[in-house]
Amino acid sequence: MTTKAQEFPFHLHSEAIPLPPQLASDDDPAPRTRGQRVWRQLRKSRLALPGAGLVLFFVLAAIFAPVLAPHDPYANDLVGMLAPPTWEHPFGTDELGRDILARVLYGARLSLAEGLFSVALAMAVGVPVGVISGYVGGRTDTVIMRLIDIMLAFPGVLLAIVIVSILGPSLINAMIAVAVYTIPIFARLARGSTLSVKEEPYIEACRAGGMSHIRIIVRHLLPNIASTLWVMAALRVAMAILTASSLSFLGLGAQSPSPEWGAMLANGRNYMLIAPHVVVFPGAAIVLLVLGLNFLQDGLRVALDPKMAER
Amino acid sequence: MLTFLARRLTHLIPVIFGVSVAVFLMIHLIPGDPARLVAGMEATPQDVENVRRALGLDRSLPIQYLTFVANALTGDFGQSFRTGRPVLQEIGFRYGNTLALGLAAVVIGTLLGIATGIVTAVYRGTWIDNAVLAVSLLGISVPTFFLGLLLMLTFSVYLGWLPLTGSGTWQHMVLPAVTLAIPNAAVISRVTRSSLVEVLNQDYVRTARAKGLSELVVVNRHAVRNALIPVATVTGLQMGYLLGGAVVTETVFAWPGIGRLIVQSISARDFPVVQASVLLLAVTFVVVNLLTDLVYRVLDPRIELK
Amino acid sequence: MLSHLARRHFLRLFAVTLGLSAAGPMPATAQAPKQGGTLRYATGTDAQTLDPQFVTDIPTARIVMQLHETLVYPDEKGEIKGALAESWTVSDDKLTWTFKLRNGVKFHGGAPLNASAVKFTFDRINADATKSPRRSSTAAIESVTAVDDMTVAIKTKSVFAPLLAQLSAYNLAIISPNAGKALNNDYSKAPAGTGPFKLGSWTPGEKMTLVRNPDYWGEKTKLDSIEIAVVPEDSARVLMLLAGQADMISNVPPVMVNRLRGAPNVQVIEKTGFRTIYAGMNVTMKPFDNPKVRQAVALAIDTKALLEGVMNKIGTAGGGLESPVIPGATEFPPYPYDPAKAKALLAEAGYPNGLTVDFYVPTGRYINDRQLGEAIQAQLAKVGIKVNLQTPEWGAYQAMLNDKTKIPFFLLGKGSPTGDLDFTLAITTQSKGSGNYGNYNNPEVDKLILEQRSTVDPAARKEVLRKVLQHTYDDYPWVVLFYENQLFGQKANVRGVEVLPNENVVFARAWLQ
Repeated sequence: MTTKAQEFPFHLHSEAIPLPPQLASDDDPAPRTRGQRVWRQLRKSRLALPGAGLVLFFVLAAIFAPVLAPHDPYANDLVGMLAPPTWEHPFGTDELGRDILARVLYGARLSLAEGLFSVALAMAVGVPVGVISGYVGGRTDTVIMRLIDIMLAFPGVLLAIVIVSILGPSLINAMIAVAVYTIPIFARLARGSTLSVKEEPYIEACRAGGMSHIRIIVRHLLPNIASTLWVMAALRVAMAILTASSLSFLGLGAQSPSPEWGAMLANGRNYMLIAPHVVVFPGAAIVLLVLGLNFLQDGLRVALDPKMAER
Repeated sequence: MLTFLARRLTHLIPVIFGVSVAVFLMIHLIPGDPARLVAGMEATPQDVENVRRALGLDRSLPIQYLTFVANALTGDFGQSFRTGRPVLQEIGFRYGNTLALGLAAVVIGTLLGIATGIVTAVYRGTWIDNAVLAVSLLGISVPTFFLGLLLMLTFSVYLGWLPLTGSGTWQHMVLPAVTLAIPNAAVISRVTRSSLVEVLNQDYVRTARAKGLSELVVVNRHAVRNALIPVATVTGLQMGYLLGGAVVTETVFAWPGIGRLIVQSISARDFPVVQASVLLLAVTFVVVNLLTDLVYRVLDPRIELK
Repeated sequence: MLSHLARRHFLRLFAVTLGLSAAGPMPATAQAPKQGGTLRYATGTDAQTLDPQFVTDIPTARIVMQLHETLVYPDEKGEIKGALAESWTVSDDKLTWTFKLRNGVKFHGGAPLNASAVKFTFDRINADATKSPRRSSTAAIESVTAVDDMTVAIKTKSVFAPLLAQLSAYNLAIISPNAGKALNNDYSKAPAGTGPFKLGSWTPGEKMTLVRNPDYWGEKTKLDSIEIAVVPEDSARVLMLLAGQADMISNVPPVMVNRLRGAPNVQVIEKTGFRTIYAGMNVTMKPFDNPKVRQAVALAIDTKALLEGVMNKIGTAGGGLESPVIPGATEFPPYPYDPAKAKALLAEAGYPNGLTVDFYVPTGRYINDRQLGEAIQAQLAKVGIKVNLQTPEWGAYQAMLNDKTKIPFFLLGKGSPTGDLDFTLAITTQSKGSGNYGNYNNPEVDKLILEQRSTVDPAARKEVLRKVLQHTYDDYPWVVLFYENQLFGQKANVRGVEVLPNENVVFARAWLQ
């Protein structure tokens, strides 16, 4: 029904396009041995460790923002506005004289939350829907997949934009919108994986042995499709951060004075001509965090897929 | 082939119908009063009521929806609340702009992507491969709004080579097209590389190599054509997605495309415009995806057309 | 530092002088106006329509008023002058106004201006079929009759002092009966007013060309044409001006003013406008039902710091609800900044430990609106008022305001489409006014609003209006932050463009050196 090409997730959504993760297609074998081999491969990938380093850096920044920040990220200083970087304000100040370094540090919390929360929510809905659709099959499957098709027919961030417009612009609503538009991706992936695992002899055996469906799904099916889902989750965290910050940039996400990076860029662009530092630092922060996640994800993909490593 | 097409097309109809219902319901869920927005802040309540009647918003929702569908089937999508112009006229040239921008971005992205993809496949495992990988990961990690602003700062503000935003000349299109093309190129580069590597490991290529032909000749003459099948597919999908409205890029560059129109029309509660443009985009999107699917099947004989 | 400041001051003075010479009458030393040329004007938003009876926003009005004229208009001082009406008289019962029309005026289509065209215009906006969103512009009018070919009588329902101001509103511009058969967008394809410019071409969303009307009744324009480009991004317009791709740009962001003032061959036009930016409080919602809390807020907001810091001094200080440049308005000082007294008032009101309120702020609607909200948030925090900023998107915000029970504290702008206090004060200060989003209720004000309408003598009327403003000033239903200034940038060789306080821009006497 679906071609292999359609299973590349990158064409599905958002203006930021992830790499085609070969592993993300359903027919990838789950890694048989984990632990050491994965770790070795992860270390072999030249990008995984720098990626992990970057991500860790931002996690620490988020946790220790109150300690690290040189100033209150909300404190106005209407005299020292749009000041270029100095020792006092290493990243300069914004249009209300607020310290940009402090805001970038606090913003790490919001961006990480965006990524984790939206993906978690999308998985919490999408995976059960996809598994049920694939496992039950028949009319249920048809109806669910039609609904998913309708969701997928909204190109780009359009669906997210409409949802945020309904809910009202705020960070939490932007995260919900990103989650909603990520749901089809997990639903489809979970469904595809379920379909391929469902026919495996051991599942058949369980069914013949009279095991309940729920037990089969929870004990045998989910563990077998988990690694595929986790790789996709890792990929989508980066995407979710980009999408949520895009919404904030459009004024549909985090609202001032929240130091969300996309929102900071949206506000800063009006001052870009006279104070470029206002957009450069929050922008660089997004790039580095997302880059770290993508590096890490690429390494993870190689590590979990031995075929890839040979190439 | 024809039955396949027929089956897929009939499959599209309920999807498009579903989208039309979904869009209609969603825009009416958005808080705010279109009549009041059209009438303006300084309007009296009587003015607002007059506007509401004029726009047909005093009717019940099912009636409004049925009227919309009935008119839409005859090709009449109503008038914009904001400007009073026919919706199709309102959408028309903006759709053209989006199309032009999307095509430019796909061309740039594909050329750049294939070139770097070939290089990385030929030099796989070397530092060049790793460097291009890192750069392409960077390409997909930059949010388009930041990339756009950086390009503006560099090429418009400091160098003064290109206009900052807007439309009208080809110079206006360069920066938004490049902004859209960069993540695109990154993806195509990776697809090209992996499919080329796969081809290069196949027997006939090994044979060619064994004949003593240089790697470059082998790649050029024997491998590239076959390796480009998946690339063509991905390009098609990207096209569908770029048509789908590069909302953020269009907003950053004030490009008068359909994505920007939708965002503006949502905030103005210009329901007829939102309805028609979202529907148009959805139809375009599914149709382009279908075409891509067809092309893929035609190019790759291993896939059976059921 | 000093020299830097001095230089800035000098540049500012320099720019102001240039701005004045550009806007006012030509100084004796200036050369005679040069004939010909095209002025390239870049503006942020396109006109929505060219049909005056469908205009609901300023950028559209600015364009429409190049093509059309009203019976009367307010000059730069706000005095009402005749445009298409040459003279007028009022009947003894003050109900019937008789206008003598100007002779020899032709619409763009060639039709002559006469009494039946004027009557047609008023009948058109009132007709159900027209579906004009501004039908209320004629609410006070009982009838319009053609007395003879060139004389029109307008009868009001009751004595209505602001009639002349009302007639100068862009919605009541006179249109040709021939062209006016088409409505709104159809009319916009071939608009026919009497203005000094005619429509050349229009690509909606991109650009419009206006060309000289060779049959104009008054002095014909020096310019051959105006090319209006729609450039939505503020910074993009500034760059176009600096790069010489535009001769004039609208809505210069305040933050760019210093840069433009420092640039050669570019000048900034800054004009006080009719728009008031204010922080309103809902007097029927806690905690603002307590006048002491409202006064505390007024004393805790440092409007001077907002104007100088956030607005880069672009704006005009004042405390009265109506900008003093509007005819009939009286000037009030801003409320003093006194955080200590504000704290004391809060304690008296029963909030010794401060309080928390939701503050609603639009984003991108008014110049620096969001930044103003954030700065006020920081200022109020100093007296113990914790402010939660709420920034719903405009459509939702407007709906909530309109509910009048959902928003306790809000930032808003208030324009004046007619240039007369009656219209806006009736909406904003009357207890049942549709724009009275804070439920301000003072029976005395309600009475005075009715009184000023029937007070035809301007001086007496101004005193009644002053009382209204005084009441609202003393009751603290809102804190006026400042009056928005209109900012335009133009190249040094642009002469004679007039920016009126009612936000219209007159290109009729513009020329390029």
